[in-house]
Amino acid sequence: MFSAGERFLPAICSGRLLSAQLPVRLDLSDLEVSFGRLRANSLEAGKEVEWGGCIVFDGKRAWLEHLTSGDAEGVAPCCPPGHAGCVGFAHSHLPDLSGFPGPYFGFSASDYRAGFECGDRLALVTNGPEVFALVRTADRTPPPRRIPNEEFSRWEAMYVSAVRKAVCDVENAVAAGRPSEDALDRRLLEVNRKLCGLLGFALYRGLWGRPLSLIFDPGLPEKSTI
Amino acid sequence: MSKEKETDRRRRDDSRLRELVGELRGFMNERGVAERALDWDEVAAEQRAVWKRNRGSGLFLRKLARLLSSLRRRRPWRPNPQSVDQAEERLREATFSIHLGADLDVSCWGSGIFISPELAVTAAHNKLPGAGVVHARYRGRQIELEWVRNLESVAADTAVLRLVGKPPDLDVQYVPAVSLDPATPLNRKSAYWRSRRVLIFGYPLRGDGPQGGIIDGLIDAGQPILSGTETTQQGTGSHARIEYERLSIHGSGIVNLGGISGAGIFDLNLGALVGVQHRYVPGRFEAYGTAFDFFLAQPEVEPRAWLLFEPIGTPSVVPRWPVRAAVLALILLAPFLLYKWLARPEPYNVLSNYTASGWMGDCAPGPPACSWEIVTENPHSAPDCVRVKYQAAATYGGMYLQFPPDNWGQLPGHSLKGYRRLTFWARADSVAAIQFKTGGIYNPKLPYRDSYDRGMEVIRLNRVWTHYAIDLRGESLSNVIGAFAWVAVSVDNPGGVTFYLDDIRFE
Repeated sequence: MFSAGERFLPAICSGRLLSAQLPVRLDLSDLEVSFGRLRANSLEAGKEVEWGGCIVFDGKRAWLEHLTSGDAEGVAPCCPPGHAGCVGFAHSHLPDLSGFPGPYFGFSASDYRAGFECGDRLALVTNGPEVFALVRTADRTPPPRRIPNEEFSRWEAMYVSAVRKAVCDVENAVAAGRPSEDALDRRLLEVNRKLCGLLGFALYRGLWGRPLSLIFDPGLPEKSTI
Repeated sequence: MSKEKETDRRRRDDSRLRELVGELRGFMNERGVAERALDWDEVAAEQRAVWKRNRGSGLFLRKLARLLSSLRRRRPWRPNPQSVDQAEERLREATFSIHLGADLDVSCWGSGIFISPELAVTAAHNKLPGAGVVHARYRGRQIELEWVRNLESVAADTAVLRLVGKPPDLDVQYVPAVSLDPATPLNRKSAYWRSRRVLIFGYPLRGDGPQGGIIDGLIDAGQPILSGTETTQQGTGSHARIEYERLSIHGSGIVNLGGISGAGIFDLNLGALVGVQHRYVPGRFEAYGTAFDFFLAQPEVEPRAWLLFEPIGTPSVVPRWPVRAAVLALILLAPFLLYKWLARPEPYNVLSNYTASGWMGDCAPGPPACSWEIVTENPHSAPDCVRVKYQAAATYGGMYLQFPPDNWGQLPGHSLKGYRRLTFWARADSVAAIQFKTGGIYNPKLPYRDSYDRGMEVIRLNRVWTHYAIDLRGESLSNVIGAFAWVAVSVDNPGGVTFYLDDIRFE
């Protein structure tokens, strides 16, 4: 499954990874079995609910524990507070099932809020065939703290704005006679990158079973530096 | 906050996003536009290229060059003016001066800073519970605040105030405050703190005007920011000058600042207020600030929009290992380098060890066609130099300095291993075109030869002493028979030449 690539998981899970050390390819083979189980649960026919689980790290290897199901719209972690070794949360978004809009790019605003407030060092989500990862860095990600509601509303507005822009892109595509359009992925990538920049997370994306590729590095000079 | 609400915040809910995506996809269906995935290979390749440009192997050399240049000349930290201006402006707008009485011209007691439209925090030591209403000047207006509570758990002098009787047209500006993560080792003398860029702001001088400054560099780096600033000595109202000019971290997480009570400590890296200066030690003019570890624990203080400022992130700290590695290498190599330096050969004087015997061409008959004389007039270095005369005849004239005299290969010469070049000074009475060389004596019928052969292009001498050198790096000087030679061609010097040589030596 996640077989190739460099193994940086221990450094990420121990919270020592600096942005300068972010790997271009992220190997998640440690999580292959338990994350696969979570995904299988999520894909089980007839149960259109999201699943989640706590990422636990024992100093050498990582796996998922406390797998729990949510509902069609979300899932909350059920790790006991202060759970030893808990370093993050992995969950599934609903795949392309009937009555749903299908997989889409990246994390939602509430994923960012929960991941940031809970101090996740690694947050994973699987959207259909794709897997995304948020990675906390020791030097770029601010310490976890509560996100005020006003700020969260602003984040949600960014998603709304992204979709509106995507609508404009589609209009333009129609006017130009283009038969297909990648506006949704492009705009959602933009929002995800912006939020990652704001929160100092690194963002990875890849297909299930393969190493993930770095698509946003908070330490690179897109950000203003001082 | 109730348990259910807390759970809500931890919930990964994507219903809103799913709804939006559903709407967009419906719209695309209506318009007959198929959805296409991004070219992820291109996105990843673009990111890899950025990564490589900034972090790849080539970057190591750039970083090394930058490190070396920073070692050569340590430049002061230059903040991004836009970010700092923005933060400073906001701090200025959010800070007020606290006064001893309703008469704001009497004396400034300290500073306070709004952290929300109604709430402020101060550390102005005025024993607020007993002080009743706090009189302050804010943006040129008189305002009144009431004590809400002291933050005894943090510092006796730190308190939260609430604005009362707010004038309807007063627009309160505030600086968002953050609680620092207890898991972050801020409470120790740590690299984290030392890497902070901090702006502090308050009213040090009787409330005449806000003053502050950027701490130029890192905390705990000995900052002269407020040294010499005039301040009001709380309790007496008399003036004093702050002499303390060093910042340090105390064991309990206290930031030691020379400065002004109640001044806000704004962390440019986080983009938020992280502390307030709170302690004053009479007679020593020391003051302390504290990190806002307590903020989240205070029900009155709900930090708002802490991302109001774009955080600039932790500055990269120049790694020390290359410097250490270089120093270690230098220490290890020092004995070898010292040996090489001590063992380097002394300059070898050719004129003292070789004889002017190898006449050639038109000079083969020797004087008077050509001459080699020691003269004392105008030497390059006292007491004398060599004057060479060549009366142009048929073809060319020249001469070798040889060892032993007249040795064209019958006998071995000197071994001059270790020398790297031949140098000499030369001038002429008038313009002379001469070629100089070293080595090159070779007669296949004789048993010995020069172990090398190096020459210069023809050079034009003039009246000024000029220094010349023949590079011998890479040559074997194991057997030097003809250490130095000159050659003058009659076509180039039709009237003959007179030139001077001095200080011919191997170095």
